[in-house]
Amino acid sequence: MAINHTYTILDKRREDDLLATDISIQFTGDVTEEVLTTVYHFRPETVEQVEANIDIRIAAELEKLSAKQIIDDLITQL
Amino acid sequence: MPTWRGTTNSNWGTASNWTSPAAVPTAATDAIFDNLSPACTVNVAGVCANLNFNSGTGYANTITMTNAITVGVTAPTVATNTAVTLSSGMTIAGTGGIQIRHLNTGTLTLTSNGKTWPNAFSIFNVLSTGATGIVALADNWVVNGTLTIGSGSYVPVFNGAFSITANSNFVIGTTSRVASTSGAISTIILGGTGTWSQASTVSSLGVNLNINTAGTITISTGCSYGGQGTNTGSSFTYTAGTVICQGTFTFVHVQASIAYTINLNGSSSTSATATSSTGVNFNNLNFTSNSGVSQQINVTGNVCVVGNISIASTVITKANSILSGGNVYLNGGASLTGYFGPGTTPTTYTFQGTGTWTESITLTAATNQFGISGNVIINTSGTITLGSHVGFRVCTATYTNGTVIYAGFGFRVNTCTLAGFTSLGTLPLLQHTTTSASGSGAFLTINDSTELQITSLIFEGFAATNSFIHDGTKGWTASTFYFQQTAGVGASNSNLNLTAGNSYRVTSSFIFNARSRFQVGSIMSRVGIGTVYFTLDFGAYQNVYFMGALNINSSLGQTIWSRKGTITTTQNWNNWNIPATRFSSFISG
Repeated sequence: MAINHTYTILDKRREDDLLATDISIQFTGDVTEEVLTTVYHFRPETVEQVEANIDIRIAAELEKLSAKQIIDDLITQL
Repeated sequence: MPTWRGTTNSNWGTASNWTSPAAVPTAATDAIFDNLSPACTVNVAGVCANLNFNSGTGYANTITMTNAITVGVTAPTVATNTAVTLSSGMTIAGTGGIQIRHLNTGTLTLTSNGKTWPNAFSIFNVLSTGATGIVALADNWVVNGTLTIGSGSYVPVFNGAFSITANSNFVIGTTSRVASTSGAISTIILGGTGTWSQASTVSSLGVNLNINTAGTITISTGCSYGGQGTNTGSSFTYTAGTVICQGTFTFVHVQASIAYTINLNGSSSTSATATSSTGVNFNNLNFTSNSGVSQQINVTGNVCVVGNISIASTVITKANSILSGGNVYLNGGASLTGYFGPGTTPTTYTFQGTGTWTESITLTAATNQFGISGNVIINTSGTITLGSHVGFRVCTATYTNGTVIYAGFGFRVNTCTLAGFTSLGTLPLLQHTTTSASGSGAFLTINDSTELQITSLIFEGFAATNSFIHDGTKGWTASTFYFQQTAGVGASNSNLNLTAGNSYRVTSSFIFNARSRFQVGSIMSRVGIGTVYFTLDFGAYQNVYFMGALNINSSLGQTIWSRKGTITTTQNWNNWNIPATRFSSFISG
């Protein structure tokens, strides 16, 4: 299954000593879906740190998406 | 006292080699070497009361340690001081060590005069009472053999702001502690390649301990630091070298004692191992406390736990571990039979690996004895599985990434911020505790993009006038809401304060009861300016007894019927008289 992704930061704000980033993840390829989620970062110090957290979230959402696709396929076969 | 002259030959054990008197030293007499003393071979097990190589202008010949020398009297009738003094000009051959019998009735003085002792060096006690004995460092020592401190339950108390550099193995032989003196804390430097081991995990180290080596230090399982032997300024630090941590290391807390510092340069990496060339990465890390008011550990920099972190306390009601400052990186799980209490500065705990997080459910929430205080971050590519309800006391808890398996468990909170947890879906349980230590009220701050979804929201720990305050950027939606003031508790006026601008909703069951009909002051009220929506879904069960509302808008759901509560400037709450036959009803929409 080949799935590509891009993401857009829809909103970024400080909530006390946290950075909240609302992101839209656009998955394309074998699956086309948009996932909206918020990633909270505790006292981030660099942009790289924030981007790394977002990348990990994207990887988790991709795993979830793949799992959902597999389940949907299983349902059609049962 | 016998002075070495080597008149007959070079053998320590020949009486004629000694003068004044011409007798081999015994446990009751000193052994003295001066600038006139020739070479000596310890051909038999040497014994003396004090060992002095610095008489006159100092011994300048070679002593061949074919056997060990045991220094110190055996059983004094009066307080006896003991001393071991080396000479800067002496040469030491052979492999025999020095063993010092330190009696707790006197002071042991150690003077190296800059001479490195190449062999084993041990300090032990002949009496088993466990009393303390002063070990006075007159200058810095370097020991290239195994350094052993203590035996039985003896408590050596080091005095003197000097160091002993142990370049081989380091053994704590006492089951009690190695203590320090206020204002003159001695330092043990692990400076070579060797193993640090202890006779007992209960024993603790209170002198400064510094790892500074070009070699490798192996910390055996069962080693510990801190506790009763510490003093102001006591620290466990890392400067250089490779450190291998085996098994479990323990930091010891005791009741209301002086804080100590750790600065170990642990790794923040998720792939850290227990072998590090840049700091100390603990394999498993344990905190032991028998204290309700615990000794604080000041954390500088990072603490790395490759395996599991735990609190294992001897008294379940005194199970408080206090850390202040620094970062604790957890690459495994947590097992807390005790709680991390709030330190002077919050410590940040980051769950960044895979593991199970459990907390003893026998810890008493109502007395604040649960959970973790400080900052807790869940940011992992792995999975954190709850093995019990876990707690956030005075805490900011942030979810960034990772799989969290609730397994039916949830959170209990005191004064806490929860940020980002809506990403994990519905929280099975959220138990909010307030206590007299909560001050004006226990805050639950929810910072998130949507309302926090909760299956079961429970309030407990009611105490006189201590409220619950829910604020933050979002409210919550709870399936069941249980707020039952405790019968038998003293005058209780615990209000639930909800923040304007947020929405709070109950979908299935709303129980909001005072302690008794004599308690009419408790209410649900608004904090801030604006509208706070509290919605009870149509069809949900309700039971509201002597609880009121102030500035609440419940117009989006069913009418809330309060028996005898005080209702003021609130929408869709009504009073009803207590009927002879109790019933409950709801208005459907």
